[in-house]
Amino acid sequence: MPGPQQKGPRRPLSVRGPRPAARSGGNNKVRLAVGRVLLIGALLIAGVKLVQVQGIQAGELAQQAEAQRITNQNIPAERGSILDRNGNQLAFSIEVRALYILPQRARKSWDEARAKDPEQYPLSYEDHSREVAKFISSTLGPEVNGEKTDEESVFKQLVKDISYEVLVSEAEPAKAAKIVGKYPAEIGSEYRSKRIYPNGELASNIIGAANWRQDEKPPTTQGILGLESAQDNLLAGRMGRRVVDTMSGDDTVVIPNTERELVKPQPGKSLELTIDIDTQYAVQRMVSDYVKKSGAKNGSAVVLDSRTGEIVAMANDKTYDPTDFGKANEDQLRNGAVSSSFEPGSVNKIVTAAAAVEYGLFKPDDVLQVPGSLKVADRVIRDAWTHGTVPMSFTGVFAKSSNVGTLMAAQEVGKERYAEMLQKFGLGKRTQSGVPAEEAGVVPPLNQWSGSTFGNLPIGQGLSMTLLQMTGMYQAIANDGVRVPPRLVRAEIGEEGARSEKQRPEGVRVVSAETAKTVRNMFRSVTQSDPRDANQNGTGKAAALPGFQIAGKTGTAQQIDPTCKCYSQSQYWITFAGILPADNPRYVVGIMLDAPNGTQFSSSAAPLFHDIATFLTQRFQVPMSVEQTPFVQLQL
Amino acid sequence: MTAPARVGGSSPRDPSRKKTEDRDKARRRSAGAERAYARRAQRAQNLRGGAAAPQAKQVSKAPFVVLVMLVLGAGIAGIMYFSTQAAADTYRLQEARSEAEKLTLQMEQLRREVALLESPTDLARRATEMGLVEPSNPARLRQNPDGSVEEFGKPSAPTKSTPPPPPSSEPPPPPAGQTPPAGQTTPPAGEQQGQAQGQNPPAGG
Repeated sequence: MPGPQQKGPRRPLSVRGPRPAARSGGNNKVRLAVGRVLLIGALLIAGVKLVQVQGIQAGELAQQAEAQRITNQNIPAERGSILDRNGNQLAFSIEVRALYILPQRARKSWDEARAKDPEQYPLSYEDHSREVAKFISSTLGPEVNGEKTDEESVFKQLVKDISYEVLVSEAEPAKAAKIVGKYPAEIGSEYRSKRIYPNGELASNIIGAANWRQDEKPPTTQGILGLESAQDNLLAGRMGRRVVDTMSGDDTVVIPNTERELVKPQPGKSLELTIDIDTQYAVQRMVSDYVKKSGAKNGSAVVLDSRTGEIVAMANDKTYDPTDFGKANEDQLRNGAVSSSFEPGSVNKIVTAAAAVEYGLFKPDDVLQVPGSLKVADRVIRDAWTHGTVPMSFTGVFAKSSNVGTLMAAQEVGKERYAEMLQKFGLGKRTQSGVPAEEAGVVPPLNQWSGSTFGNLPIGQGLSMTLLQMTGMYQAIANDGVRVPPRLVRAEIGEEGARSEKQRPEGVRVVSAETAKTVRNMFRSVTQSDPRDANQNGTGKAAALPGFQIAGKTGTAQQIDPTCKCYSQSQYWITFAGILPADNPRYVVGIMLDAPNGTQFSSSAAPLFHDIATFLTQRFQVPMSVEQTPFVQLQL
Repeated sequence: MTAPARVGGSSPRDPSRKKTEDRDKARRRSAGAERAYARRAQRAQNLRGGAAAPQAKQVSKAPFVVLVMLVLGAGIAGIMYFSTQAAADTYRLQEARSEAEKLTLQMEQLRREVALLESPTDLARRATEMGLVEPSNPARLRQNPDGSVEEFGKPSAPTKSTPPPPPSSEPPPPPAGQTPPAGQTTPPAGEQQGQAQGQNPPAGG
């Protein structure tokens, strides 16, 4: 800057204005240079740090930051409930808290705090633990679902030399919050869900069981048995996920407004069953009673709505406690009504009756000369009581359950038409009812029939079916010849009660409406009783219900003796299937008793049908039949 | 990065400009005159009392500045107020949420109690405790069109009620499965039929 410097000395002192400018102008160069160096230096340092932070250490630092504040949380999806047909809860979930303790950590921090400030913490850790235990015990009571929470046992756990232990796994959330709020250093709590079965063992073979699985990742409630397992995907819904910022070192303190929901949880759907829980209770009790009375090994009963095929009740004598299924044995876990198949015995004679009437071969009052025995291939078939050749009405053949008479009719029907009829009645195939663990039963295909097969099938031996299939056969006759496959699930209930009815299964026409009506009327005579002439008694007169027309059929089938692989002479399947009322069918009841023995109730399930029917008429206010069953001559 | 030029007015490295300025001044006044002007200006300044000269003009700007300050102040106050409110609302929201959660849990608890009390198992247990029994074999009445009443079936008296089972604090007994209520002994109808059964051959083969 040559100008001002040259001018400077020439200027008088009195001219003050420009002089400071000239002086500062003299430093400008140095200042600028220094400033520049400083600025560039700072910039360089910043640049280097920038590159270091953003480039070299970026990942690591970001991770550290995240670890410090970001916490991933699973948002549990609420598991759907299982309801009966009237909306009564059969199974549902509630939230609970598991309380855990961190004894080592608690002891360490307590001792440290005490060393620093003995006045504030006068108690030793032991004495303090006693206080904590007292509070927990007084809040939770002495026991929570079998886990001891009395003062002494809590105290013992608090002073143990371990790092972590679950104190209570199913504490009420409100009480848990109270405890954790008071002693955050010692006690922690975490979310759990608990499945509640208000009816306990009732219907547990159908509903099944689900429980909390801590070993799942993430932990969740999982269906283990029955419907809970079969429909687990539908019931469970989908877990949601969210990210929150939390205080460093404590993931439970969420910084407000930092919640970022990544995936919304999708609550599970609820299932509405066709079961009526009151009927289920009554039937279950009656079946268990009767199984005891009759000395049977097992017993089951099924009640179907005759018009819709809905399973109103399905009871087995043995059930289990769904909250403690580990203790249940195989027999208790099995739903015998669908997972054990058996030879139905005379109940199967309805197939012959339906086919014979459908093809116009016999009318109810046709008279057959029934001999004492009949030879089919190498087998001689006899009736259950000895007789010579007797004239019986076609109705009488079934009412008195004559094997010989039935086979005579079956031979008129012929093998092909008979086999086809078995198929139409839905035998040998799963019913697709939605009841888990269903069996199909066995019907030998026509091309594998031996000579004696056709002497066995019409009287219900040599083929097997489940109780549900057996009841389904009578449902077809009750429903004017249309068999509606039975079903268990009526509707799915989604969010906010959005209900979607399950589509009704398509009915299968088995016989014409007239045939069905004729067969129903014929089978009413099974419950006929004549005090004057025992020959006119039906085999199931104990099933009769005064005021109602009852159509039904008794059955007795020999079981296979495992020692000789032949038909046993002492072990039977005792069955019964009945339609209530026969003139305007509403319900169909099927009963099976496995090897009842030694009591007056062992020979027939008809009295049990009577009891169940009595209950059903009251429970559903079934109107009485307009006319009583007319008397029919069974044996002439 | 811009060069730190122009800090001290015109660039000293701009000789052409400097020259024109010098030339300008030289043409108008001599150096002495210039100094005289400078002195006069200084005197005038001293007379007016230092640097007060431009004040007269700047007085009119004060209200504007004050206004701007007020507006800014009000703005800041407003922002602070709203952000405080927002924060407070957040806490209130959180409180409300936790309250809602608490109530949901309470509802669940109550729902569970209702379900347990509603269950037929529990109802039956309590009914038995109260000494109620189920009629095993009711008769049915029908009124005919002519007004007469017809009775169907023979009603049988229910079997005696059993003493209520001990302590009700115990969980409900398992459904009939394991321990059928003692009241459910043989229904009379069953007995009759059972006896008659002997005469009847078992069905089927």
